[in-house]
Amino acid sequence: MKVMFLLYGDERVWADASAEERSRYMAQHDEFAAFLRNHGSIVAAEALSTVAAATTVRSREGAVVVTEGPFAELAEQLGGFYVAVLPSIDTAIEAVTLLPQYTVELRPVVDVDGL
Amino acid sequence: MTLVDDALASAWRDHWARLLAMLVARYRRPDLAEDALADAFAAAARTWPVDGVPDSPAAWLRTAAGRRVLDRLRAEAVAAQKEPLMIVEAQSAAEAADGTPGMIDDGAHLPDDRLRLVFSCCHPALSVESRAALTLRFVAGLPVPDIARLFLVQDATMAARLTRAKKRLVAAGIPFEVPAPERLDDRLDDVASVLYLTFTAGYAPGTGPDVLRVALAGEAIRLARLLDELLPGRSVVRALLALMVLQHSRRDARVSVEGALVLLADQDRARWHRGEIASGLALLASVPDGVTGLAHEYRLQASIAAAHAVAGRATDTDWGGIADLYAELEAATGSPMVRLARSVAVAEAEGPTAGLALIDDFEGIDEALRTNHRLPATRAELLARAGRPAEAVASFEEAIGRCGNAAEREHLTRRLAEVREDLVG
Repeated sequence: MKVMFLLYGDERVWADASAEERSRYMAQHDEFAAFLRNHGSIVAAEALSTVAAATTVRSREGAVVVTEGPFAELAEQLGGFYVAVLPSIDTAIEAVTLLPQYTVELRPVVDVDGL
Repeated sequence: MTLVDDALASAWRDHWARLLAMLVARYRRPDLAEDALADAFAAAARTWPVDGVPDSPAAWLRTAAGRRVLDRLRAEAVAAQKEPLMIVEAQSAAEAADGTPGMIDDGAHLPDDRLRLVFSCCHPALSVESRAALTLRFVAGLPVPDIARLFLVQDATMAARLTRAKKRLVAAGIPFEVPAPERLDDRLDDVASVLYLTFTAGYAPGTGPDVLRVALAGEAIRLARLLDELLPGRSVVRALLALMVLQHSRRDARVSVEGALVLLADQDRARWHRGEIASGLALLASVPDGVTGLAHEYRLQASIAAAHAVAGRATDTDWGGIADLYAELEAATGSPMVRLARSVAVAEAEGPTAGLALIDDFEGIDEALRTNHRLPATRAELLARAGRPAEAVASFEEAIGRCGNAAEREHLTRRLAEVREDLVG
C-alpha cells in the first residue's frame, strides 16, 4: 500500500531543542527512513516550515480569500510528511514507533486514474 | 427440525468462518465475500429441501459463493469501477487459489485462515464497536439483525456500521494475516478484549432480550474456544475462557421466573451448570500463576468467579479469599469499580464498617463514579447493615435516581421501603 505519514507535533519542541536533542531527533528520522526502505520504499518526504509561515487560500466561485496562518489552529501542528510504499498498515504502525514523539496520521494514498 | 435444517445449521456452524476466510484470502474483497456467502446459504435453504443435502455441504457452499463473487467482479469490470483489494499475505492467497471451487473437501480448509480473519476483524485500526460487530458477522456468522438487537441499534444502523467497517478493512490497509510473533501478544490482547466485550454486552442486565443475551455470551465463549484451539496454550485466551465459562454457568439462576434479576446470594445454586463449572475450573488451573497484563486481570476475575462457583451455599463463600483477589485486581487496574466490589467482599468478611471505610478511602471515587448507581447502592446497603438507616435512606434514594435498569431499580426501591420501615419502627 502507498501511505502518507502526516507528522503532527508541538512546534515549540523543535524550536526549543538543544543542538544535542536536534541531532537525536534527526538520528531517529534516519532510523525510521531506513526501516521504510527495508520494508518497502520512500516516495517522498519533506519537513515543513512552522505555521507562522503558512498562508491559507480559499477559492469560492472565482473569489479568492487569502488569510494569514494555517487552515486550522491546533495544539499540534503539521510539521512534515513521508509517503512510502509498505506491505500493510501494520508495517506503518511499527515504523512510527521509531520516530520522535509525534501524533502521526496515516492516510492511504488513492490511485487516481489518468493522473 | 428437519434433516435439511440440521444440515444447514451444522454447515453454518462448522463452515461459515472457514469459507468466508477462504473467500477473503482468494478474492481479497471482504464485502463481496460476505454477501456472496450469505447468498450461498440462502440458496442452500431454498434448494436443499428440493434437491437433497449435497454430499459435501462445504464444497457446495464454496462453489455457490465463489460463483457469486465472480459474477459481481464481472459486473464491476463492465461498470469499469475498480474497487481496491484487501492486503492478503502471498502464502494465504496462494493456498486459497489452489482449491478449485468444487474440488475441495470438508477437511481441506486451513485453520490459519480463520485466525487471519479474527486478527483482521479485531485490528486496532478499527473502532472498538466495529471490531465487535465485524467479529460477530465474519467469524461467528451472526445475521445482521441479531447483531443490531444485541447492541441495541436499528438494523439499518448496524448494516451501515458493518459496511463502513468492511470498506475500512480494505481502505486503511489492514492486512489479512496473523501478526508477527513479536506483536502477537499485544494483538491477542485486542482480540481477547473484543470477545470479552461481546460476552459482557450479552451479560449486562437490561440490554436486549434474554434469549439473545445468553446466545451472545455463548457465542463469545465459542469464539474463545476456537481461538484456544487455533493458538493453543495462550494464557490470555485460557484465562478469558475460564472467566466466561464460570460466569456463564450461572445464567439460568440469574433471572427469576418473572424475569427479575436474582442476586448472587439469592440464586438457586442447583441451577448452576456443574459440568461447565468443572470445565471452567480446569481451564483456570491451566493458566500459569506468573502471568502479567490482561491475562493476569482475567485470571484474577476468573479466580473470583471460581470462589463463588465452589461455594455450595452462599454462606459457604470464602469472602476473605475473594477480598484478597479483589485487592490484587485493584493493584493491577486502579479501577474504582474494583474498589467498590472489593469493599463488598471486605464487608462480608469483616463487617459493614470495614467495607464502608474502604469506599471512603478511595480518593475521588465519588467523582469517578458520579453517574453510576452502584456506588450509592453499595454504600446504602452497607450503611443499612451498619445500623445507620437515616444515611442509608438518603443513599438508596440517590441510587434509585441514577439507576436505568428496571429490575435493579425495583430491588433498590424494595430495600428502601424496608429500611424506612426500620427507621420508623
